[in-house]
Amino acid sequence: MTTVISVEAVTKTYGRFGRKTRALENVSLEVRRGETLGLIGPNGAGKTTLLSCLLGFLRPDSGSLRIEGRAVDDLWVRAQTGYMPERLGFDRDLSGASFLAFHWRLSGGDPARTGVEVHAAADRVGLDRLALGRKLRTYSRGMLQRIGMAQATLRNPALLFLDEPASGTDPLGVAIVREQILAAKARGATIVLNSHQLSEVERVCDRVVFIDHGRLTRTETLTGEAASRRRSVVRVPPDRLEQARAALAAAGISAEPGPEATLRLAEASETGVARAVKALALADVPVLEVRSSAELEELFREAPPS
Amino acid sequence: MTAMIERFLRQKFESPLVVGTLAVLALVVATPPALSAGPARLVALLLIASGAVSRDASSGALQIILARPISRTEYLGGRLLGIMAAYAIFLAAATIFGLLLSWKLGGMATLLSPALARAFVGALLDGLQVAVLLLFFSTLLASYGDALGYLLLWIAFSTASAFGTGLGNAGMAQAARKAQENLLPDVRWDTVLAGGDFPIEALGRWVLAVTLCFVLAAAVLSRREFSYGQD
Repeated sequence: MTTVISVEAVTKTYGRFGRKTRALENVSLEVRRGETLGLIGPNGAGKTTLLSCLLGFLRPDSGSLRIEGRAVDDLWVRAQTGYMPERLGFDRDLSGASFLAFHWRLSGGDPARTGVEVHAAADRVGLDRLALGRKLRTYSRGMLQRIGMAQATLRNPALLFLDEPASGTDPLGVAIVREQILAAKARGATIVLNSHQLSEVERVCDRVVFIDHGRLTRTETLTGEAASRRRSVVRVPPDRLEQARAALAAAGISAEPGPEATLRLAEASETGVARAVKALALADVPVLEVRSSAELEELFREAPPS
Repeated sequence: MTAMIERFLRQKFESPLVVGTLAVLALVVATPPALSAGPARLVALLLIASGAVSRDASSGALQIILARPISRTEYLGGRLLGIMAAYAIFLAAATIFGLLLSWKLGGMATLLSPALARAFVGALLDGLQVAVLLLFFSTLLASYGDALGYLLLWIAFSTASAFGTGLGNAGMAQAARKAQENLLPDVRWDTVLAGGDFPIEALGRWVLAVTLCFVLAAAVLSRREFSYGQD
């Protein structure tokens, strides 16, 4: 896969004179086409600063950022970009429909299709027509998150930058945001996601980078054969646990018993899981559940302090 | 660009408070001789133009806009055109109020004249000069600091000139006057538009002041960074 986003040795400092804060220090990373990259780190780690640099809102002190080989503020790059900010104070004087219509037209959308596209975007995030007619200042945080997501995904951008897209929303809102990210992924969009919701990051991201005190401290691949840290668990009926273990052992797959009639597979890659399920099926052991987890919370705790 | 203008008009005219205040000011401006009440026009323009960029920046709206395929100069141009469109609507309302007042007073025939059109265009051109200066301040200062900046500049010019004269410091008074003439040139648009006089020096200063303010605003905005945290 080709590299779409390239960040090389980026350093960014805030403040002047004696009160300087180094927000990013020598950060380098690449994002491949169609990849979903998660940015993880504690508050104040530099994640939003990195996103702001990628969007051209901030200029790094040193280093370079390129998207598709172009400057990040190149208008061609912007035409491919969707962005959802963490802070949702935007355009409070406009109605939801006016806000989406404005962004549809600003992103180069056909003016004749504005109404249709606005309603389609609202439908995608579960905002009804009544809500679209209301001013944004009357929206709840959850509704602002949804309309923010709707504007970010207008015209199906090839690049999506999401800054805490589901923070503070109810479970339905979280699910809607997840659906939108997965839909963008399915289209082949390249996504950079900054989120504290590790379970969501785990569900949608192909790779995560840990940022702490402005430094990139760790990278973990979550999907595919290159997944470096993943736990895969199969659940079988409790009375078939021993038979399942024996079937896996016969197939050369090592597994350890876990709670609630589960078996933790030693090889957690997608191929390993497929082999295990096949072995169990051939042994006529019902598989009740297969669960893969990247143990991000564990990794988050493990990430070495800078 | 039309989307930018439409957004500005919606921001201003979808607020009942702003519309109500502008309507009252339009009535004041409409009082004969129509469109001549300078202070009321200035207040209306301050109400329309102040915070044009700074409020977008502080609310986060600007960041989302700048993530779209639009340059910062285009954004600034869109804001300026939005201000001028809103101000033109205000002046049109004042003109209509003026016509209605004249009709009541029986002077419709004299009011419906080229002089009214000249007053309208002149007020618009005067407004452009103030709007572009406010826009420049709005790229530099937070919230409604642009209106304050404009008023302080105007006060500084006026008082410096008066101080200089009062202190017998002719140089100071002259420098203040020159600065005011160059940054806030007073062009008699009615005379110019009537074709009676063509003050090339004053017009040149006006064009230069408007251009310089816009170029400076574009330069400041293009260099500005937009951050809302250090996360």
